[in-house]
Amino acid sequence: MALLELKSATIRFGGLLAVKDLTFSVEEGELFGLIGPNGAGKTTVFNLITGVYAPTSGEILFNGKPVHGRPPHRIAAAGIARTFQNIRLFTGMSVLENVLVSNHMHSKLGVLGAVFQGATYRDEEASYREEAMRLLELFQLDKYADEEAANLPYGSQRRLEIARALATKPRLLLLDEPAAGMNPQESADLMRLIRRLRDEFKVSILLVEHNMKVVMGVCERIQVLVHGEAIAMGAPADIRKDQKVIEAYLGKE
Amino acid sequence: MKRILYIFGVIGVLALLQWGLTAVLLDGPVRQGPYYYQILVLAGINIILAVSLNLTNGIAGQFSIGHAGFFAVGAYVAASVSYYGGSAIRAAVSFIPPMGQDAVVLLIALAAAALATALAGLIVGIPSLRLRGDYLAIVTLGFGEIIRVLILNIDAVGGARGFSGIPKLSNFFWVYLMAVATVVTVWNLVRSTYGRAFLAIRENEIAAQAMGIDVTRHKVLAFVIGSMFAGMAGCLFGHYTMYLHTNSFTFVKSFEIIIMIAIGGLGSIEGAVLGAVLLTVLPEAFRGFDSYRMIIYSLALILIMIYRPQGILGQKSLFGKKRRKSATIDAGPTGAKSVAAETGVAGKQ
Repeated sequence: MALLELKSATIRFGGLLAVKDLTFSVEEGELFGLIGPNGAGKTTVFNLITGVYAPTSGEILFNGKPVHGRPPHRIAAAGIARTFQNIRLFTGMSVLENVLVSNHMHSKLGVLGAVFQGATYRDEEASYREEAMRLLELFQLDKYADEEAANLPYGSQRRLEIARALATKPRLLLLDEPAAGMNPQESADLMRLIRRLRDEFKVSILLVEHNMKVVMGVCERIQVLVHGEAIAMGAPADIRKDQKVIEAYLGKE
Repeated sequence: MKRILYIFGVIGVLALLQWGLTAVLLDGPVRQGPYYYQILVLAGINIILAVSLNLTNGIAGQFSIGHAGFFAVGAYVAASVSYYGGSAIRAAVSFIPPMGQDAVVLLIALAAAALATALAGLIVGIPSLRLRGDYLAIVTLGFGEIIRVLILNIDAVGGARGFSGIPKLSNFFWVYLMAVATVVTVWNLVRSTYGRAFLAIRENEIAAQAMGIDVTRHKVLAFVIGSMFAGMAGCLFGHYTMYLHTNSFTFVKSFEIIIMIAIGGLGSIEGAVLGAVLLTVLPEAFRGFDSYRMIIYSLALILIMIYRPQGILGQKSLFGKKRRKSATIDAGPTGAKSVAAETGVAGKQ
């Protein structure tokens, strides 16, 4: 059974058909790429999967259960985490706190427990901080733990977004243009990081990316989207040769 | 065990202070003693109001301008409980001494006020907090005025004549006990996963949702907790002044509380306390210019917004540890080094 399945997912904004009849699935532990020219509807697909939008028609199944139309926080709790194309960190909070936010949905603490701060609070808080610091270390952000997130350099902000998403303990991680604005060295490091995350955290990764080197280098399968429609799907080598994909990106002769 | 010692310690210190203040200011040699005592009590009530509003406005980032409305609901509900039900409660606990009976009546009134305002907060919060933007500000402003006009027309609580004959049950001890409880509650909440959820909502709602936070639920929660404490402040206020009039609960009072937290530093608990004390004491110090008070307020607000938009304390020490300044990353030799380290993304270890 596929981890994530889209079954003819469609969304319409007034007269605009942003995503049309999209069907694809991501397997457990897969590195899956979603590419397409600007305005193809890639981020809209992310927003559909994470519940920001509800599909006009069609189904989205996660782990075999329908998740479409559920609110975003429920989908996050089900095990889908994401990063954002335009970074959305909690800028006024420290780097550590950014990661700690993800613990709230797993916490068994009630409001009264939080106010009285008994044993449950102390145990939970200690283990959350330990986990968060370990995660920050992995992303080489531990030295910034008490720094305000807004003060981080751009590359670190991108990494913090991924760290924060991973802290929710997802089974599927959606990365929206993680290499945007990175230099070749940084994007090479990012590729290594993505592979490592899949192996160490046992997450499937769905990637939207414009940097073809990253997409082709990392993804095992790629879905190509043009004007909200799927035009091709397959391994990177096949996609590179696909006539329709070349036309979509470069135009017809 | 340590915690219980703490609680008894606080109660003991406050009781001692109450005894001392009564001896010195109320029955004692100080000229205008009762006047100073009253300023102290009102400062305490304002601390409760400011710290509780700070939870909603500063920490969860939901701009409410109807805090006086909840203050009023609490004051009138609590006063009605002790005015109409006081003798029945006393009769039920007639086996304990009169001072204990007073405490029981006050605590029941306090609980009633908390319950009523939490409910009011829920009713106002659920529809308005589902929407994004400034709706909450508009709805709460309306709520405050509606409550005021409503009370003005209820004869059982005195209507336009005001509610008199409320027993004097609250004093320095109770007000500051409640103030400590408010500060500790908000402080502890902020340092828990709840507090981080509130802050996350303030910083970025969409990202907060993606982190699994039920945004509406937590906005309502912060709003209800804030309203509840305002209600309890109302109870203590009514039982201190022994007389309530709707003129004490106009939107000007709401703005006063907002100014307190804005001056102290939106989101900072210590700032809210500081702002509350300043805005209670300063107008008294400037008694002579009383009618210019609003001008001074607006001037102070404008000046602070220009020269120190983050408030007197800003976000300082909200999380115990002070954060490093941005300069350590962006400039200087250490900055250059950390940027160099930047390129070695995690994969290399």
